[in-house]
Amino acid sequence: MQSGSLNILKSWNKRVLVVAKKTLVYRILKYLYSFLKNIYYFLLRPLIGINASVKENDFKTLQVEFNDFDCLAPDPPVFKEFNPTYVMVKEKKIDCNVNVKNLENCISIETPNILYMNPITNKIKWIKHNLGFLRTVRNYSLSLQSHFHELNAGITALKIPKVSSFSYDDIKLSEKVRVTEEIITMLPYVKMPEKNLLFKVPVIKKPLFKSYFSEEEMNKFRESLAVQNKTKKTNVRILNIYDKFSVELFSSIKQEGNTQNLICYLNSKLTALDKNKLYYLLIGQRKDNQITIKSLASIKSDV
Amino acid sequence: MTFENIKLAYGIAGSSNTNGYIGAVLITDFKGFPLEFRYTDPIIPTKIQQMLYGKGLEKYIKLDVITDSLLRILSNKVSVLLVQDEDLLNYKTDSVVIIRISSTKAPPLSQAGDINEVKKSEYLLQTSQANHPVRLQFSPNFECTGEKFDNIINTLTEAGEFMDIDEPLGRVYKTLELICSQEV
Repeated sequence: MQSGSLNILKSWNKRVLVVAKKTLVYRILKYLYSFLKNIYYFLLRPLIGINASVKENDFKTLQVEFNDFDCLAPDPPVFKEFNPTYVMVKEKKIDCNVNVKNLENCISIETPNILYMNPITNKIKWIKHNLGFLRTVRNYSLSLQSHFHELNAGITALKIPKVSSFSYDDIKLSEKVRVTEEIITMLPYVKMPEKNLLFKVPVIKKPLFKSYFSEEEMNKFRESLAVQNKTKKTNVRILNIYDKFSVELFSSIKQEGNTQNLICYLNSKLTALDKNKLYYLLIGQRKDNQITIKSLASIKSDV
Repeated sequence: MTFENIKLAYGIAGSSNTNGYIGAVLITDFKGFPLEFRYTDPIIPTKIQQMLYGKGLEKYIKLDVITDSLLRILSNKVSVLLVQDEDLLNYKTDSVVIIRISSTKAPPLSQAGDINEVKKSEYLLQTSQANHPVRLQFSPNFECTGEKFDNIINTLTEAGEFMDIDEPLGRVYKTLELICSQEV
């Protein structure tokens, strides 16, 4: 306690001395003292000689004083306490696993009436949870960020995107959108041609199959051909038979190319058609001179 | 109905090679003589219409556009429309019975007027002697029994005594070709 107050007093004197050194009076007195001391040494020293006073002190009683500035040991550092790091522990309970099978076999009889059993604690297997993953969780964001850095580095290495500057007008959408209506409904114009055009398109008549007629019908067809062409029935050969023919029905009849079809143009002047006036058109050939002959055979009367 | 009053309608609707979709209806009398013929101008769908209608475009044009327009504008009243395109059987109407007709190579049935059911809604009809029967396919919704069905068979049989009842369809095609070659 005394040494503490003494230190305070010394430090106060020292501060006063430092302040006094800075004043003008102190500097004048110091100069005057130095001047008088020089006179003393140069004038009186030869007369009185120089006697240096030597003090002998016992080191055992020597008091060693230290200033605060001379202290070698610095003040201990002051550590700032950081905020505690919180760790989330998912499972507070650590289960133990007891191998029952081993526990049953751990009892053995060493001597009669003496049971020896290994300590059960040796048979308990403690499951040590790997708490290392908690550190992974704590550093997850940092790890994720490092992954992103790696990813970005990879992408950057692959392709350096070129970003062009553009103005706001370039990306602004017009609020007035032009709406176009497409005509979806289709409605055709329906026309009617001149009636004469319809009569320019012929009717195609195809021959019938002769095998569909009976022999009696074929004989009557041959007879009809022979009579109308003034020859014998045995001298004619039936080539084609066409049905539903009338003298007035068609205005023109032609053969369609090299086919057996007939091109028949309808008679536009025909007003009525009698069902009984429909005939079979027979196309035949004379056997003696190979001339093509034809005739009409009635459906009911002749056949 | 006497055979003088018989009116048969023949309709086609389809796409030509480059001229879009066209259609026509020919109405004939019992002799096969034309009474009325209507045809449509070619319909060429735009690319937008093709995209909007997708796969149903052709069917829509043939049924709802061409066939519907032609049947509405006919001046002669018909009860039977004979077609060659099977798609036209799907046209929904109560006034006209649509029948797909086609020629066959089947042997003749015993006599004219005989029918032979091939399968449901499909029959062979003998229209004339010593000729191949024609194949008739009705709409799946049509009831192939009763008076209405019998009347149709009788009408076709009577008309078959004077004409080949499937022949006018060929004339419709040729007439359209003639019109397209001249005007389009």
